[in-house]
Amino acid sequence: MKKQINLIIILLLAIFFTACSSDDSPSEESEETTIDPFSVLATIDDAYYLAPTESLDEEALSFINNGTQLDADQAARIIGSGGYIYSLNYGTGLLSQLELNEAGSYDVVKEINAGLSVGTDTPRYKLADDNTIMVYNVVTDYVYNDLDEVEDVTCTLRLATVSLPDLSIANLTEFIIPQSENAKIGATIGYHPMRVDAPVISGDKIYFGLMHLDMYNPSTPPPFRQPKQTGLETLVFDYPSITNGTITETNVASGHTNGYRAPSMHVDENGDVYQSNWFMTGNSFDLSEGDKTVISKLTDGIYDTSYTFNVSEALGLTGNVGTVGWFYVGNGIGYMPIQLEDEGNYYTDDSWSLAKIDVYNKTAIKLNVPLSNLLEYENGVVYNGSFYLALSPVGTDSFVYKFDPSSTSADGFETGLQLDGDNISVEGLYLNN
Amino acid sequence: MTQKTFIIFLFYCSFIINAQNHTEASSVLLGNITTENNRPLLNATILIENTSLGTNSKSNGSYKINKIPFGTHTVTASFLGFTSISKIIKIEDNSPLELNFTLVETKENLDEITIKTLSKTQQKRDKGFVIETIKASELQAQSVTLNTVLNQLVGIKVRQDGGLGSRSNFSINGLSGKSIRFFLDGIPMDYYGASFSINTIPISLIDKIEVYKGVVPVELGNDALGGAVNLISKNQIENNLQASYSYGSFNTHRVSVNGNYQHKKTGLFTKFSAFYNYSDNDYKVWGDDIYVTNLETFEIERGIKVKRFNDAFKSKAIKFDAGFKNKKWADSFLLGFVYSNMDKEIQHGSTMTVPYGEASYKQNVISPNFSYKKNNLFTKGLHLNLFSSYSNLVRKRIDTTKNIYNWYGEIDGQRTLGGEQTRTLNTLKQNTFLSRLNAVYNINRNHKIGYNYIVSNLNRTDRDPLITQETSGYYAPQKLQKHSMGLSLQSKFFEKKLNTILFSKWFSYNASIKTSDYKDGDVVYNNDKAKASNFGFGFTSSYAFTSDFKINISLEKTYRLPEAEEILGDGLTVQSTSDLKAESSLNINLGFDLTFFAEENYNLQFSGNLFYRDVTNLIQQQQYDLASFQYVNFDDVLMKGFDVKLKYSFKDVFTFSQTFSKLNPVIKSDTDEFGNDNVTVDTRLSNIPFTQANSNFRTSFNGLFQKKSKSFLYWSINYTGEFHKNSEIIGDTNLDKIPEQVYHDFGFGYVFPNEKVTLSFDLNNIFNEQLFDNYAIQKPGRAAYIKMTYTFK
Repeated sequence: MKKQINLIIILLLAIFFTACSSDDSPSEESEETTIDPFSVLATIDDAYYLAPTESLDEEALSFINNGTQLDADQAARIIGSGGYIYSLNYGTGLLSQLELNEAGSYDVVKEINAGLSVGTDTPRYKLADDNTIMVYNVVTDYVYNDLDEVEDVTCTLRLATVSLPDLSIANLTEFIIPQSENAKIGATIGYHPMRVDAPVISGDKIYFGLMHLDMYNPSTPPPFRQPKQTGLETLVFDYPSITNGTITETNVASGHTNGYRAPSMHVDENGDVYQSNWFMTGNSFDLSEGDKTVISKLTDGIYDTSYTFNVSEALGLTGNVGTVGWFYVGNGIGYMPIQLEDEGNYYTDDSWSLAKIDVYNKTAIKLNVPLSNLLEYENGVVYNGSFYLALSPVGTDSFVYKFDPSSTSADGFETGLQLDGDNISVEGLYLNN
Repeated sequence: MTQKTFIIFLFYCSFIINAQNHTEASSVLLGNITTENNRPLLNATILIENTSLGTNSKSNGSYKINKIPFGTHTVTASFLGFTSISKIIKIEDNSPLELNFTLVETKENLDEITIKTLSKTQQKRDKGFVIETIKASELQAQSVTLNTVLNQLVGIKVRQDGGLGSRSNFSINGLSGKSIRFFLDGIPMDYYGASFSINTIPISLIDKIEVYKGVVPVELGNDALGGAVNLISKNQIENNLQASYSYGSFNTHRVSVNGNYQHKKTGLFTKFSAFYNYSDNDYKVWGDDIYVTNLETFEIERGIKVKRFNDAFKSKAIKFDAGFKNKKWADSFLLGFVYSNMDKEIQHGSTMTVPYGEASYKQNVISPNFSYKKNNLFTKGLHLNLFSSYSNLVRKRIDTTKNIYNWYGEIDGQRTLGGEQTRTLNTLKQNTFLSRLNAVYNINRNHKIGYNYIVSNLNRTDRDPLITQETSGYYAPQKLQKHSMGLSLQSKFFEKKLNTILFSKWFSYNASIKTSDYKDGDVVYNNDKAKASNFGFGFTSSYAFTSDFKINISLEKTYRLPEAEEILGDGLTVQSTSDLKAESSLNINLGFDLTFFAEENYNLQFSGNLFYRDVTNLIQQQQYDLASFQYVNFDDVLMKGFDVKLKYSFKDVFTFSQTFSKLNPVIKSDTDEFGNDNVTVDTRLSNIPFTQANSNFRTSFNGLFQKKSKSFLYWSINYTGEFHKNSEIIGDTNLDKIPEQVYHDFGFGYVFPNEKVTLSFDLNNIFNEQLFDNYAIQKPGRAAYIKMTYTFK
């Protein structure tokens, strides 16, 4: 009997210690000597991963047991510029400069607390030109009257300039955004600028798109408040001094001009700024009868009202068409994710397609790509004259798509690099050099 | 499946009929229990060993036990503070038998309690439940929290966000959070809030802790999907008063007082307990997650070592019960009152990276209650137990500062708008009526029926002067009513070698939810109704091959009803929903108990349990649109694993125990919430520990420093294996992991010869390891505590 007990004890201890000492054997590292030219951003279950790829045209890239996890308290926002990847940890406000190493993972080169510079853990940021990242934060505070009722809203912008590639911060500015009477029409107490985004620098001006919301009750349920905010507005500063902040406005269309993760503004080769608009009320994408998705033009700090380009009309589709931003290739050509209201909900359904637009000739074609969800899609890549963008549709395989900017056909694209698909969503492509 | 169930049921019924045929031949035992001085003893326990028969003596010391089957029996009389006496009787005919006991006072109180509780534990296990129990009496001299104690049980993990009073998540065999329910003396504790919970109640007030794994008895009748923890408070019969004070690291003070008084002539009974906890929780944290920012360049310096500075915790509570015991009209009739209050600072959010300097919350609970207990009501064998309470809970969150703090506790800058976590001055008021009816009817000596019914009515309002963007439901009172009912049949077969319980439970909820809609240009408010109901069922059984070898099997199909916040939303970022179904699980346990050398000086116990949990319709938060969330039923998870425990003891001198548990939780959802194929299907669930082990050595010895003094010493080692915060199959570099951890605790205690004073010293996390229960949230390092306990006799 005693022997048996000894045996049991020994067995148990053995189980215990083998369990304790089992450690992961180091995975074999591939011998690579060159840096892959592209990085791919994927997200699943609120975690973000970045992996390099040699080609966007062929073969396959999987994130299963592959890729570097990005620090993301709530989310990670990625920018690629000058051979570096910049990752903003939304939730801590830390901005990291990452560099791809030969082993295929990313090393942190430098970190700054970009959020603290604008007084928040959840700043927004975008690449304003190749050497500049803008970081910003808008807070809205209520102004009460004697009866303790909300009378107005103060909208304060804080912004900072981050120079690349040395990641140095300058131009810490606090600015109260002026409010136009135009935007306030129809709202409880007015539509107020509550977010700025999509900065671009052209000449001695920097432009910020603006989002207006009825801050008093933005949660009005569908089909949303009527009438909506009227007009388009853009915030313009002198650059690089970030002074003389003004609002330029136009009535050629309505909506927000800040874009979402896809940028709404681009500077063309002539230094003109082209801008898309979008519609959002409360927490919901808000398209109603007669809303038009347009491209507007800004030159020398003001809207060029002689330019009008109605994208909705040029597409010639039945049903409302919305967007959150677009990607610019060159020579007036761009690619715009479009939400087709007839295909379903903007947030939960594969109701997004892609349009090729020409802002010079004012033409737009809906491309015959599979429907997917492009609401949160962040970045595409222009490489060797082609435009690359990843699509992750439900139920079918996911690929990087290669678009031919010179084609006028709705089928002017081919599939390239195959992605995981399933619920691994690819949200951006970036150049590593 | 249903056919199988039916066959099992038929099989079961045939046993009942069989068993009933043998219940005729019985007799009555009666007598008196007195002390050496011939004083009658009230409430002494008289038990007939190896049966469920027994009673307590009345105020004149008399007792009577009916329906004792023919045969030879051992009758034991016991009373706290007295040495138990056993006598052997032989019943051969129906004539009543008289048996008197004279009990002699003893000094070894503690041992007596130990014996009693042990036997009760064993009884529950014999019914087939998988239950872990802790005799709190053994640990009362130590400066330990209930969480620490529970974390050492096999298959149980308590994950804490920090030091004393921090948020904790309890898991039993992998199921955690809201699927685990807590009870105090069988009464659900949910409505007392955080200030009177497992996080705050000191161990000194508790006599015993029972943890049920997966399958939960009907008496606790609640929607405990993954298991239940039942705290059993001290319930001494003799008048007593005990006080303890503990002081230690991080300016931690813990005081508790408890006592009871019974006026023998009138039967007036009062019971009182109170506690106060305070800690600065200013323990050191370090590593890559802790950094400071240079305010000129905004560059950061990682890897500093700092003290936490906004994590203080204070809680206090009073619980008072008064009433009568052992009256004709009631075995127990008590009116009670619970008041508790807590204050907690918030040091950081979901990771330590961004420190907060001022955010805090408070909570206040007032809860009057009433309980009534009567055995043999209306007819013999019908026992009734009623409980009813009202609770008023007020929770306030305070987060308005514009200051931005760094990890040195300095102010780095100002926000334009206040709020570190979320700008808020939210006040939540929650009123709950809870009633419970518990009835047991003994059909015969081998079968009894149990019935349990709990209804709760919750009414909730929110207020926040800072919120002007309220959704329509925000200020509206919302209501949630829950019912749960259970019926059980408990039986014994084959000379009590086979014990079974067959049970069924019914759960239901209905809620009135306020939603808004838009009609012809106006906002219209609707009162939506949401409801659901489910039937659960299960059985437990145990079979004793010999007194040293038992196996038990239990199975339950069970449900968890949605919580108030999941259904009603929070009026801000969480949307209300009328589509939520109950979470459900099929829980199966298969276990054994093996004892070697039970009769000798040393003793070896080996027990193990295989478990299976098939959870469907898990209630999870999902992004509803760009800025809000909603709870949905999503994800199926299959968990399998085992727990083993080995315990060796030598006399009363030392015990060594080793536990080991392994869990394999696998995701079974084919698609995600948007209909995408799920790439993580058939892989292990993230953010859950898979491997745990615990070694514990304890020794006691007499006569150190002083004759008749007692001392004890313990050393425990706790191991948790590495696990991932996110899916372990995605990515390969810089993955968020919770590292493998080992920590050691040590303690020493000394009981002075008069047994009135106990002194103890505890040293936790001896090697100052960096410990994490959750990703990037460090727990306290080395900490020392001293404690003194004084018992008035």
